[in-house]
Amino acid sequence: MPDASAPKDFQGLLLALQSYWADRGCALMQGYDLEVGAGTMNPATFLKVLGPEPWNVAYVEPSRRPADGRFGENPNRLHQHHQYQVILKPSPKDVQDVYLGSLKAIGITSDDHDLRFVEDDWESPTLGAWGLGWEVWCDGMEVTQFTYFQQAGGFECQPVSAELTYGLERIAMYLQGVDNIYDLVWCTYPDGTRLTYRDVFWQNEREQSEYSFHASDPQLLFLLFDEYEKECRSLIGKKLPLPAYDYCLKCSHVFNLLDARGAISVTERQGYILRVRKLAHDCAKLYLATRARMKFPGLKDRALAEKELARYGDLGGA
Amino acid sequence: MDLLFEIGTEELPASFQQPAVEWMAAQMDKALDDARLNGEGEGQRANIATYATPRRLTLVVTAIAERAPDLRRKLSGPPAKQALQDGKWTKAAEGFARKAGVSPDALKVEGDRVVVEQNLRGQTALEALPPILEQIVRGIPFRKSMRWDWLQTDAFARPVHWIAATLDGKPLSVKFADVTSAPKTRGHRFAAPQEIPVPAAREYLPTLRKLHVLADWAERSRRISEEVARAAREAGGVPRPDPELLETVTGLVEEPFAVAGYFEKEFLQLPPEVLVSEMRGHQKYFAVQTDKGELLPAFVAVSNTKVRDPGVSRKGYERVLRARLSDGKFFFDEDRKVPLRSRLEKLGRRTFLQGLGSELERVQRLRELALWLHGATGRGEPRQLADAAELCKADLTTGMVGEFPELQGTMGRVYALQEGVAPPVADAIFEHYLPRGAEDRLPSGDIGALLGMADRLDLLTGLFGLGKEPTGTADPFGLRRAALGLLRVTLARGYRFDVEEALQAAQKLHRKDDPAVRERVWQFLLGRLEVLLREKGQPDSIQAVLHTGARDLIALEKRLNALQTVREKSRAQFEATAAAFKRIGNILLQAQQKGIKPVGFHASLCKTPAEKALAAALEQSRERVSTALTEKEDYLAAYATLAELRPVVDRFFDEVMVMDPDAALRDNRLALLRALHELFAPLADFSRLQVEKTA
Repeated sequence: MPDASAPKDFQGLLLALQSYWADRGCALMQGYDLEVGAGTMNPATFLKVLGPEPWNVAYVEPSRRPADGRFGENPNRLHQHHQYQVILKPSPKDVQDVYLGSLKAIGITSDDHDLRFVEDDWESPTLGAWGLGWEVWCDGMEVTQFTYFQQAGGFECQPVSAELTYGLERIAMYLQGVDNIYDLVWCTYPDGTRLTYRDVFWQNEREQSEYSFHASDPQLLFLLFDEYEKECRSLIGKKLPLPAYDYCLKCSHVFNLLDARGAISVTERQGYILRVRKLAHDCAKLYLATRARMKFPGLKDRALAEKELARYGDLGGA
Repeated sequence: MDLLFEIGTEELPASFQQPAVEWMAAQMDKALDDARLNGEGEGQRANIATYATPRRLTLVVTAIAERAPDLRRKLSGPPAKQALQDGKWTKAAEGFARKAGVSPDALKVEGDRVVVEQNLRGQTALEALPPILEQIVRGIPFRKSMRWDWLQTDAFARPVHWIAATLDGKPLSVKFADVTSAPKTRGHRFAAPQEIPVPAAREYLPTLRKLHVLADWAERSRRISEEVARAAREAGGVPRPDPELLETVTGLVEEPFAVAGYFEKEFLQLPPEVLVSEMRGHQKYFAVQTDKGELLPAFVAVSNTKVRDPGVSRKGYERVLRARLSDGKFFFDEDRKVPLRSRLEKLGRRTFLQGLGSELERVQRLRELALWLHGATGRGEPRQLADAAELCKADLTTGMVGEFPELQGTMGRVYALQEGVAPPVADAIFEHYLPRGAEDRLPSGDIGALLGMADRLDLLTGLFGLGKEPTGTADPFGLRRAALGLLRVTLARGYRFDVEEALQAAQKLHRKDDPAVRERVWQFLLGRLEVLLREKGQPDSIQAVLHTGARDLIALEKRLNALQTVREKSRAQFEATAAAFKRIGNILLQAQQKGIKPVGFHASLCKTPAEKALAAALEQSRERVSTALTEKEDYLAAYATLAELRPVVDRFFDEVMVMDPDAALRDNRLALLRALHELFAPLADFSRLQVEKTA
C-alpha cells in the first residue's frame, strides 16, 4: 500500500497535486463553470493549447458523462467524476520525470509499484483533437492519461503541449484502499467524523442518472441543440470566440444527454458529432485569429511572435 | 570496424519496436552496400544485429570495412561535335568537366563522345556513417509519429532523448530533432537511470544486462516465459499459452519480473473466453490453467520493476482485475436478461455499413442467402440454417461484446446454449466467423460454414457494389480475408455451386444486378484462389485451369489435380500433347484474326486419310470424353483419351495443310480442329501452359 506520506483523504490528494504543480510553475485555476465531459474541453486547455503562447496550468475539472451514470449503484462508475488536469506548453523535455515526481508526492513510487507508460492514442472526435502518449499504469491500474497534443480543433498544435489527466477517484480509491467509490473519505473533521463521497455525491448520482436516462425531455434537448448551435454561429459571426465556445460546450453536453437517453440513432449520431466538431473548429479558428490580431501577447519572445504571426496570416483576421 | 547506434526514447508502443529495428537493419545493409563498406574483406558482409526495448532502438554492426576501395570510372559527356570547336572546348564541355569535378584539361575524345576518367577516393566508414545514420533515424516508418516541444519537421513515434553512435569507440556526430549524439547511454528507467559512457559495440548486451535492461528481444521474451511459468507454478498451474500476449509484454518491459495473483472462485462462472479476454486484453496478464487446460482463479502479471514487496503490486493487480471481472459479471448477468431473439429490434437500429443498411437488414439477407446456398449445395438443414442466420449477429448488441468486440460469436454461442438453442445452431453463431485469419481453423459443421459463406458473399458484393474494393495494401473492410475465408471453406467442405450464380443471388438481396461488379468480384476471388492453390500446382497449371470458364471451385480444384498428375506422371508425353493443343489454339486464333468465319464440320469434305482418321477418332471419343468431363468428372480419363489421340493429331499436322488455298477445305479443317479443341477445353486453357515445343 502507499507509504505513510500519502494523502489520507480525497481533498488531501487534491491539495498535494495542487501544491506540487504550483511549485513547478503551473497557474492553479478552477474547473469551468459549464458542463464539460473532460478537463480537455475547458477553454483553459482546448483554446490555450492553440497558437504559440506558452501556458502552464493545473486545475480540477468535475467532468460529466451522462451515459456513465449508474444511479449510485456501481462501485466504479459515475455520472460525474473529477479529473486533475495539467497543461505544460510547450511540452518540457523532462515531462515524464516531473510527472513521476507528482506520483511520488502522493505516495506512489517506483520502489514499491510497477509504474508503466503504456501506448495510448488519444482522440476526441467532437473536438477535432488528437495526440499520442500513454496511459500510465500503477500496478496494472490506469492512473493518468498522458498526451502530447498534436492537433486541436483541426489545427496543428505548435508548439506541442503535454496534457496530464489524472483520474482522481480511481487514484483516491487506491490510496485509501477502498473498493467502492462511495466509501472514499472526502475529509475528516476536527472532531474525527468523516465526510464520505457518499455523503457528498450519492444523491446527485441518483438524480442525475434518473434525469439522463428517464426524465430528460428529448424534444426540448433537440430544440436546445439547434438553438445553441445557432447562437454559437451567430457569436462566431460577431467575432466573439470565447462566448461562442461556451455555446459549443452546451451543444456538446446536450448531445451527451441525448445520447444517454438513447434518443439518437447510430446513423444520426455521426451527424451530431460532426456538427459539434465543426463548431469547435470554427471557435478554434476564430480564437487563433483573434490572438494573432493581438499579436500573441503571451509570447515574451517578440521576435518569435513576429515569426509565428506569419503562420496564422491566412485565418481571415478577426 | 564496429558500429554501435542506439536511439533512446520515451516509451515506444510495443508493436512498433521490432518492425523499426528490422527496417533500420535493412536500410543499414543497403547503405553499406552503396558506400562499398559492407564487409571487411572480399566477398564478406558486415554483421548487423538489432535490439529493441520500449526505450531504445539499437543497431550493432560489426566488421564494417574501414575504408571503401578507390574507384576509377569513366564518365561519358556530350558528343564531340558539340564539345570541341576549332580545337577548343566549348561551354558544354566545360560544364561537363565542372560537373565531373575535373579541369577541362582532363577531358578526352573517345569515338564520337567526350569522356573523362574519374578517380573516386573511397570514403572511410568514419566519414560515410554519420549521414547514413541521420537518414535512418529520420526515415523509420512508424504507423503514427508525433512532434514535441517546438519541433516542426522531425517527428518520431515518441520523443527522442539520446542518440549514441560510435565506431570502434570513436563518437560519430548525428543530429535529429533536438538531440545531438553523445557517446552515452542509460539503463533501466528506475533501476539504473544514470547516464553512463556507451560500451564497446561487442560489450553492448552484457553492459546493458548489468543496467537491468535485456536489450535482446528473444532473450527478453525467453526470460518472460520462464518468469511467467515460475509464477504460474507458484499458483499451482501452468500459463495458458499466448504467443501474441508474450510478444506484447516483451515490448512493455526492459527487465521482467512475474508476479502471480488470484481472483475469487465465483468469477469462474464466467465463460473462460471472457475471463481470458479480461486478463489479457486490458491488463496484459497471463491466464493460469491446469495441465488439462481448465482455468484456475489465478493470473500472472509481468512487472518492469523489481519492487520492494511484490505483495503490494499483487494487491494492486488483483484490485484492478476484480473491478473488471465484476464489470464482466455485470454484463454477463444483464445480457442474459434479454434473449438473443429479442435483440433483433436493436439490430434494426445499428448501421451495418454506410450504404448497406442496418444490421437487421444484413441478417435478413444472410438468411436468404444461406438458404440459397443450401439449395445450391444440398447441404445443411434449412430450419437450423435460418435460425442460425437470425441469431448470428444478435450478440453485437450485448454489453459484453460492446466491451470486448473480439468476443463476437463467442458470446452469441454461450448465450444461445444457455437459452436452450439447438447446439448446431449455437455452434454456427460462433463458427460462421471462422476462419478469422490465415492460421485459424475452419467451421466444423455445415450450418456455420454456409452461414459464414453467405456473410462473406454479402460483404463482397455489397462493398464492391459501392466501389469500395481494396486498393494497394489498403483493405479497411477486410475483403481479402473475407474472400480467402469464402474460398477455404468452400474447398475444404467440398461445396458444389456456381459462384457466378451465388454472386447474383447476393447482389439481388442488395437489390442490384450488375454483371460488371460480379465480374470484378470474381476476378478478385480468382486472385486469392491462385494464392490458395499454389501448394497444389505450378503457377501455369493454375492459370490454365482457372481460365477454363468453370465457376465451380471444386471443379477447378479437380481439374488442377488432374493436370498436375498427368504433368508429373508422364511429363514428356503430356508436354507434346499440350504443345499440339497450343498449336491448334494458335491456328484457330490466327484464323479468327484473319476474319475467317467459323463453319460447321462436314465429314464429306475430308480429303486426306489423316484428316479422315482424326475426324473418325474424334467422333469415336467424343461421347466418352464428354461423359468423363461432365457426369463423371473423371478428368484423368479425359487426359488418357487425349493422349490416345495424339498420334492421330500428329499425323494430321504432318500430312495436312490446314490453311489450304481452297477456302472450303480450309474452313472444314478449321472446323475439325475447333471441335477437337472445344471438346477438351474444360480440362485446361492449354495456351497458358509453358511447355517445350516438341510438336
